[in-house]
Amino acid sequence: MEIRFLEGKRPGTDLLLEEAFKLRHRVFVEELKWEALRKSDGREIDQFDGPQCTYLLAVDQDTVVGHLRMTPTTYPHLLADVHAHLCARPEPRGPAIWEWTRYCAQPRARGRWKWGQVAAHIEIASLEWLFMHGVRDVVVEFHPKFIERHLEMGFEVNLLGLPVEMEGEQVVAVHMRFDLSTLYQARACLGVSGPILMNEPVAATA
Amino acid sequence: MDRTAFVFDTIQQIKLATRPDELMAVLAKAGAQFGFGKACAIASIPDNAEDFERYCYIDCWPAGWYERYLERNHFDSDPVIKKLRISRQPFAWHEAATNPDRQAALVMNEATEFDLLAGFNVPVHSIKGQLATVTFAGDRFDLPWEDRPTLMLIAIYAHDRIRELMGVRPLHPSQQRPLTPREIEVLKWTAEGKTSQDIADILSVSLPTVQSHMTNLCRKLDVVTRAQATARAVRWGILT
Repeated sequence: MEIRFLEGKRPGTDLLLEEAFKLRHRVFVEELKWEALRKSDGREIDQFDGPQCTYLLAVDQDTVVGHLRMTPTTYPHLLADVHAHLCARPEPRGPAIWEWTRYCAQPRARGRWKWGQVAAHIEIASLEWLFMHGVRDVVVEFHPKFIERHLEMGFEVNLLGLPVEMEGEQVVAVHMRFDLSTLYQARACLGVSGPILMNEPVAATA
Repeated sequence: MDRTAFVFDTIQQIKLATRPDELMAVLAKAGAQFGFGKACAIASIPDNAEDFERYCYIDCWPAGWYERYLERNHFDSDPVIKKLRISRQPFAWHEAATNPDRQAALVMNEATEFDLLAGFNVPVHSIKGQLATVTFAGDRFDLPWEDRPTLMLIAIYAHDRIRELMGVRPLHPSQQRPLTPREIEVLKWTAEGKTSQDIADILSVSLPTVQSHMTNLCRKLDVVTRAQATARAVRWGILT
């Protein structure tokens, strides 16, 4: 498995990205039954996809097995434009604050109780990419159980609101901050032995 | 009461707590706000009763209950403990003991003798698979369904804080250098109570070799004694 980053791509211009949209459709529409996202062509694309996003893909033998979308909060994004009701506090926005959305992995690439290898590599690769781009803040909407996991990895996790039930699942919006020691701790927690993107000199300064 | 403001404020107090007793007082106050005025506790749930107390923080269990619990080995038959092992969601005590066997019923009955009539448990599963729980107890259960995720959040932050206050967090850079298979072998025999000479005999190597493995693994685990090395290796999931 390898991690690939796609930057500045529009839907319809990159074969791997198209595969990622199909994976999103399989997971979010066919498996999780988020019917509002259903598309006749089987590609889950929404108004927030575009060249401003960086897509992080886990690729195994030319197949996309995992996906995460990263969007700068200076552009329209899910929390601000659709899920603003999840926030009781003002939503943090800025060029160095990014949103994580649409994380998904192929069913057979998932861990059950522990984190699967795909999830672990996507999490670490994303942190490294953001770190190298000067980003230390992410906003994300997820199940509250992910709060305890990110606390364990050493993130500062700030609630933006209380959990709300959506489509039968609890969802909470959070603002998370991290630094280099978070990256080390996250690697240790997730069993990722070394840097995925970063070169050694950067990693060795901690 | 503004519920959102109360939760934000409670979590802020949890983050700022600098001592376990201070933290437990914040947690108890939050529990009482949701109807659990009797007690609250944070405890790790090991696989067997022998080291039940690996970490355990309690605020105001009724006098004698905890001693009774340990003395009668309730750990093995407690339906709440059983449900914690299989549950990702928080649950009420009456949901854990829906169809109790004799032993389980005994535990729950004894709890009522101590005025522990109702309770709510939040399971906390670490990434490496270790289990812990935050317990709230009271004399009746009237936590509305929609408040469960809220109390769960408070519990998650409290558990994280107590672990940090106790230094249970893995130390990152040292763990970047994993133990070698040989070091793990030495550590396993140490956990079994073997001396360095015993281990040298078992592995058919010299005593200085074993001692050098020991020095290296202690450095990697950031500990000084063998007992600490064993404890930390278990905590970090190196030994099971």
